[in-house]
Amino acid sequence: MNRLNIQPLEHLNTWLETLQQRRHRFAVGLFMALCLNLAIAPALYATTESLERGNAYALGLLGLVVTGLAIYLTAVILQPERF
Amino acid sequence: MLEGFLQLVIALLILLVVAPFLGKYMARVFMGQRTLLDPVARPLERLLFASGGFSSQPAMTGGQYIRAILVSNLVMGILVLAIFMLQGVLPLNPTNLDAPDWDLALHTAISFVTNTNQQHYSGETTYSYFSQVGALGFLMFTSAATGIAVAIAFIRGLTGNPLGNFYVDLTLSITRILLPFSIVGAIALLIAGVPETFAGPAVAQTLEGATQYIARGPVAHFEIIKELGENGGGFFGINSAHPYENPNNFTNLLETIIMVVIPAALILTYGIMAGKPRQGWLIFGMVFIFYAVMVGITAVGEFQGNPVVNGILGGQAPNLEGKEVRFGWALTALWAVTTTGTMCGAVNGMHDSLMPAGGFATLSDLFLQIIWGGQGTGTAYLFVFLILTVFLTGLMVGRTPEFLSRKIEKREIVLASIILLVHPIAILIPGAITLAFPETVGAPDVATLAGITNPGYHGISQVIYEYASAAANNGSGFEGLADDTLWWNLSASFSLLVGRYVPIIALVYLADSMAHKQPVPETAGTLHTDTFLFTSITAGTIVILGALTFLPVLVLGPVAEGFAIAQAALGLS
Amino acid sequence: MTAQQTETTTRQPSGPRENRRHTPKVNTSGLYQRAFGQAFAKLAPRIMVKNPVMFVVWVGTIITAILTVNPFVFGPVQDESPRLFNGLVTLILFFTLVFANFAEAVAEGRGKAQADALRSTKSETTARRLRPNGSMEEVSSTQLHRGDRIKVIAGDVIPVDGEVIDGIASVDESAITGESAPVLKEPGSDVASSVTGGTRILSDELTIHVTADPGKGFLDRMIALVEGAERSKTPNEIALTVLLAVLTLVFLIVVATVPTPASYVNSPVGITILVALLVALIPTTIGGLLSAIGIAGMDRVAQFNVVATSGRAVEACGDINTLVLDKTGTITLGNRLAEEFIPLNGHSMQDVAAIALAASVFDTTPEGKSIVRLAEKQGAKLDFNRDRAEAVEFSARTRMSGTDLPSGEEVRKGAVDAIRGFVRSRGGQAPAELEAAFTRVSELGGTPLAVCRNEDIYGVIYLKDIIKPGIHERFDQLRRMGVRTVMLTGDNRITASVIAKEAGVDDFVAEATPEDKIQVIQAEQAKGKLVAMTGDGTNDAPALAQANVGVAMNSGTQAAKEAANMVDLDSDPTKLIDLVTIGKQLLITRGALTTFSIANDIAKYFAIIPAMFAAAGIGALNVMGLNSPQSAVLSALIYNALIIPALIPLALRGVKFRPLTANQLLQRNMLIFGLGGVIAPFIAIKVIDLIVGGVGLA
Repeated sequence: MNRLNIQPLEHLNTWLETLQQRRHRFAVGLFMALCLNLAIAPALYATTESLERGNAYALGLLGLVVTGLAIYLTAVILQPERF
Repeated sequence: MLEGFLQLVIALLILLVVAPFLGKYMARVFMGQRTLLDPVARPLERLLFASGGFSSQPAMTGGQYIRAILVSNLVMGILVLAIFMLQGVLPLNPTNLDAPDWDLALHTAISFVTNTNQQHYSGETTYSYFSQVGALGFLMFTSAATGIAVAIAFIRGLTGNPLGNFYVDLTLSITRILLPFSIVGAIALLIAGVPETFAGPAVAQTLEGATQYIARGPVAHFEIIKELGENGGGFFGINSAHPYENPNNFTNLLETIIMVVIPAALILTYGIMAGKPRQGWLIFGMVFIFYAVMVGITAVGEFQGNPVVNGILGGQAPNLEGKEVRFGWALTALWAVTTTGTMCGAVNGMHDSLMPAGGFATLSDLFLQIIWGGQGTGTAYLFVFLILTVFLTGLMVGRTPEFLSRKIEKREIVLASIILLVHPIAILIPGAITLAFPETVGAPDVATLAGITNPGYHGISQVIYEYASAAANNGSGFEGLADDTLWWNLSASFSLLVGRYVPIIALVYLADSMAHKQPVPETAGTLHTDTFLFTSITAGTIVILGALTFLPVLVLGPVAEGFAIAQAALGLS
Repeated sequence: MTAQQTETTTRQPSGPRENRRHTPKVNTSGLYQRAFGQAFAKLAPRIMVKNPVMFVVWVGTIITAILTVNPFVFGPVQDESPRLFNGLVTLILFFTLVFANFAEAVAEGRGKAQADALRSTKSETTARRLRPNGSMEEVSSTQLHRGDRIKVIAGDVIPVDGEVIDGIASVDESAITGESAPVLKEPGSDVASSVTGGTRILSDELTIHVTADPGKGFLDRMIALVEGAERSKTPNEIALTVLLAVLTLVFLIVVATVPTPASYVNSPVGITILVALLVALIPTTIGGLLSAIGIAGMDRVAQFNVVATSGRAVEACGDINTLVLDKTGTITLGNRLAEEFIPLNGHSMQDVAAIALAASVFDTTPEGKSIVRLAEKQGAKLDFNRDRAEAVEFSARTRMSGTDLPSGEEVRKGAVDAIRGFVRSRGGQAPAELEAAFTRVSELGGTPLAVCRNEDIYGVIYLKDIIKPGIHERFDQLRRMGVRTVMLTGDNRITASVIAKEAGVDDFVAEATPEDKIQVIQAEQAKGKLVAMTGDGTNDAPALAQANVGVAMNSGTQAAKEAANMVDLDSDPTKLIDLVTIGKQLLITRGALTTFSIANDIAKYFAIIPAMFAAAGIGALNVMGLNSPQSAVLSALIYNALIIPALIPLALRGVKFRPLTANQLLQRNMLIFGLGGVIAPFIAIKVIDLIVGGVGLA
C-alpha cells in the first residue's frame, strides 16, 4: 500500500525535475541557436554578397546583439518589477 | 469626375443610414432581447444546442473561452485540410481536380480558418465545388462568427459582465446575423445575375470556332458570405472583378455596403451594450472620417491618373489600368479602401495597379486595421487603442487611468502591448527576410511592371502588402507576386496565425481581467472618454503609433514610388 | 512654559501655509558636482540594465564607438569622413546617457543630503538602562531593545523611539520636524507621550519605555526612505515601464528591418544612422527622466515635512476619492472657546457663571480654561475650597466632567444629553427651555454644553467653533478635482450640519465614535473608492490601517504612526489636501513627459528618414530644409540629448497642478505636451541644424 502511495509522488518529482531541466535546456537551446546563427549568417552573407569574412562575422555578431536586446525587452515587458 | 464622387458620397450615405439599424439589432441579439427572427431562429438554435449536447450554457472564464476558440478552430482547420487533400475522391468535382500541394492546402486552410481568405490559387482551377462550398463556404461562416463572438465577449468584459459562452455566441452570430442576411443577399444577387449551379463549366464555341470553357458554379451564396463575413475569398481567381461574381453596378454597390456594414455597426452595438451610445457614435464618427479620408486619397490618386501616362496622352486621364471599366476609377477606389479597411480582402480591381496614393492608403488600412477593421476583431482593436490612449491621458489628469470605470494597470498594458507588437513581428520581420533574398525565395516579377521607371519601390510594396494582408487577416493581394511557393505559403501562414490568434488570446484575457475589476465611481476627477476631445486624442494616438511603426516601409514603398513617378513625368515634359 | 502653550505649538504650526513649506535643513552645496560624478558611475552595465530604454541607448553607443574606431567593421562605407560622423554620434549618445543618469543622480542627491542631515543626529550614544530592580546601567544606544526602560535627563539626545512612562520634560524635536519650539512630553496622554530617537531633551527628566529595536526606529526608516534605499516601483510606474519597453521593442524591430528593403532598392543605410534612428525613436526623454520623477515626488513629499513609507502611498494620494477628516484641528481651529452662558430654569447669569466655573476648575483642556476665563470675566468666584474638592474626569462614556464639591454637591458640565441623563438619575427634570437653547447654539454652529448642580440644570454654555480661514476654498478645489470630503465630529447633528455647510464639506457624520471612522472608510471602499484619512490617537490606528492613505500626526502615538503609511512631522491635518495634489502632480508629470516624448518622434522622423533614404529620391520629405543628411541626423540626436537636461527642472518640480476638472486638465496638458511636443522639436532641430551647419560639423 505504502509503496503504491509514494510512487506517484516520486513520479511527479522526477517529472518536475525533468521539467526544470527542460526549461534550462530551452534557454541553452536558444543560446545555441543564436550561436549557430552567428556561424551561419556570415557564411550566407559571404556567399551571397561581396563581403569579407571579418565583416560578415561582425554583422552576425550585430544580429546577435539585436536579438539579445529583443529578448531583454520582452523580459522587461513580462516582468517589469525586476527592472 | 462629379459622377464618380457622387457615387462615393451615395455609398457612404447608405452606410450611415444602415449601420445604426444593424447595430441596434445586433445589440438586441446579444443582450438576449426579443427580435423579429425569434420565431424562426429560436427552434433552430434549440435544435442545435440540443444536438451539440449542451442544454445549459454557462458563461466561460477567459481561459475556457480561449480554449473553446482554439480547439474549435483547430478541429475545423484539420477537417478542411482533410477535405482538400481528399477532394479527388470526394463528390461534386466536375472538373476532376486533384489534391493541391500540401503547402498550398495548408495555407488555404489556415487562411480561411483565420477569416483571412488569402488565396495563393485560382479557385476555379484548384478546388472542386465540394472543397469550395463544403470546406471554404463552411469556414466563411464560422470564422466570421468567431470574430463576432470575440468582439461581443470583449465588449461584455469591458463593461464588467461575464464573457458569455463562445459556442452560444458563435451559433447566434450565424443563426441571427450571418445566415439570414446571407439568404436575403444571395437572392438579391441571384436576381441581379450571379449564377448558382452545381453544373460544370459551360462550353461555348467562339465565332472563330475555338472551344471556350466558361467556369461557373454555386457562386451567389458564396459571394454574399464572402462580403458579409469579411472573408474575401473569391470563387474565381480574379474575385469580384469577375462578371459572375459582381456583374453590374447594383451588385457592386450591394457588395460594398455588405462588406462594411457589420464592422461599422458593431461599434454602435458596443455603444448600446455599454450604455454609452454617445461614445459609440463618437468612435463611429472617428473611424468614418479615417475611412472617408482614405477613400478620398485613393480616389483622387486614381482620378488624377499616372502623370507619366498623362504626359504621353497630353492631358489628364483617370488611371484605369487593372480596373473593370464597368466600375471605373471611383468605385474601384471605394472598393479598394473598403476591402482593405474591413479586412474583407475581396477585390474588384487589381490593387497592384493602383497609383502610389492608393497603395499608401490600402497599406495603411492594413497596418492600422481599425478603419472599420475585421469582423469583430476590428472593433476590439479600436478599444486597444482606446485603452492605450486612456493610459497616457489618464496619467495626464493625475489619476490611475481608468476606462469604463475600470483601472488600467500593468496587466492590461501588457496585454494591449502584445497586440501592438503583433504587426511589427508578423509583417516587418518576414518582409525583411524576404527582401534580403529576393532571388532565392521567389520575389516579385518586377520586369512586368512596365511604365514604372524604378520597379524596386513597388516590389517592397508587394512584399509588405502580402504579409500585412496575412497578419491583418485581410486576404487581398497586391498581386503581381508569384506567391504559390513553399516560402510564401509557409511564411504567410506564420503571419496569418500570429496575426489572428495572438491578438484574440490577448483580447479575451484583457476583457476577462477588466471584467473582474472593481468599478471605480465616477467623479469630477474622472476622465470622460465619451467626449470629442478624448476621441480626437485617440485618433492622434492611432495615427502616431501607426505612422511611427510603418513609416520607413511606407516611405520606401509607395512614397518613394510616388516621387519616382513624379520625377519620371518631369523628365518626360 | 505652560501646558497650553505647548498644546498650541504642537497642534497648530504657526504662520500661513506658504511660509511653512520649509525645506529641511539639508546641505545641497556640491549637489550638482556630486551628481555629475554619479552620472558617470551609473554608466556601469549592471546599473544601466535596470533602465530598459537607456540600456538600448547604451548598447547603441558601444556599437557607434566601435564604428568610430573602425568605420569599416561591418563592410565598405561610401561616406567621406565616416570616422568624424561616427565619433560625433557616439559623443552625443554618450551625453544622452550621462544626462539621463544626471537627472536621476540629482534627484537621489537631494534625498541623500536629507538623509545625511538626519543621520548626523543619530550618532551612537550611551543610554541609561533601568534594570528590573530599579538600578541603572550604562549601555550603548545600539543595544537597546523593544521593552527596555531607559532614563534621559536634560541635555541628552533621546537614543531611541519610545513612550514616556514617567516624568514631564520639554523636548526639542527640530531635528526631525524642523519646528524650533520645544514640545512638552508627559506620560498618559496619547499625543504627548511618544518620543522619537534623535530628539533632544531640554529640561527635567523622563523615563521611557523603548518601542523600537535597533535599526528599526522611526529615524532609521526615514533615512532609508529619503535615501531611496527601499525604493520600489509604484504600480503606475510599472505599467508605464511596460509601455516604454513595448515602444522600444517595436522601434527595435522597425529599425532592424530597415536595411534589407533599403538595400533592395539600392539605398543602403549605414549602421550608425540606424543606431541614430533607433535612439531618436525610442522614448529616451521619459526613459531618462522616469526614475527622477518618482524620486523627486518622494522628495517633494519630504519637503512638505511628511514621511511616506512608500512611493505607492504617494501615488495613491492622487487617486483619492474621499477624504475623511476630523472636524477638530482640521476643519476648525483646535480649540473651541466659551462664548456665552445661557441661563435656564430661572437662574441668573451670575449663577450659571458660578456653576460653570465650579464645574471647570479642574478642567485643563483649552475649552475648560476658556470657560473659566469667561466666568471670571463675568465676575464669578469660587465659593469653596479647591483643595478639598474632587475632580471628575471626562470620559468618552459619560461625556461629561465636573467637580464634587466639599459640600457633597455634584456640579457637572457636558453634552446636553449626558447632563439630561445625569439630572434624571438624581431625580430632576430637564426644563423645556433646554431644548430651545440647545437648538439655538447648535444652529450657530456652536457646541452646547449643559451645566447642572445635582438635579438642577442651570444653563447652557455656548462653545464657539472657529472654522479655519480658507478651508472652504480648499474644499471647493477638492470638489473640482473630484474628491469628496467627509467630516467626522462628536458634535450633535445640528451643530455638525451647520459647520459642514459653513466649511463646505460634502458630507458629515455627527456624534461619531472612533469606531464610526472605520465604518465610514469601509462603506466608501465598498463603493470602489480610495479613502484617505488623518489620525493621531491609538484608537485611530485601525482606521489608519484600513484607509488607502493614512496620515498619522507626528505628535500622535506610536501605534498610529505604525499603522499609517505617512507621517506628518508638522502634525497638520490639512496637509492631506496638499498630498493629494502632490500625488496627482506625480502622475501628471509622468503622463505629460511620455506624451511629449512620443509626440517628439514625428519631427525626428522627418529629420532622419529623408537623410536615411537620401538615395531614394524622397528629398521633398525634408520639410525642415536641413543642411545635409549628416547634419539632419546630428541635429535630431543633439535635440534628443539636450531635451533631457532641459526637462530635468520640470521632472524634479513636477508639472504644475491646477484644480480643474479632468477634461479641462486634459485639454490643457494635451495642448502643452501633446501639440507642443509635436511642434517644438521641428523648431529646435532646425535651429540646431543651422548651428551645426554654421560651425561646419557636417
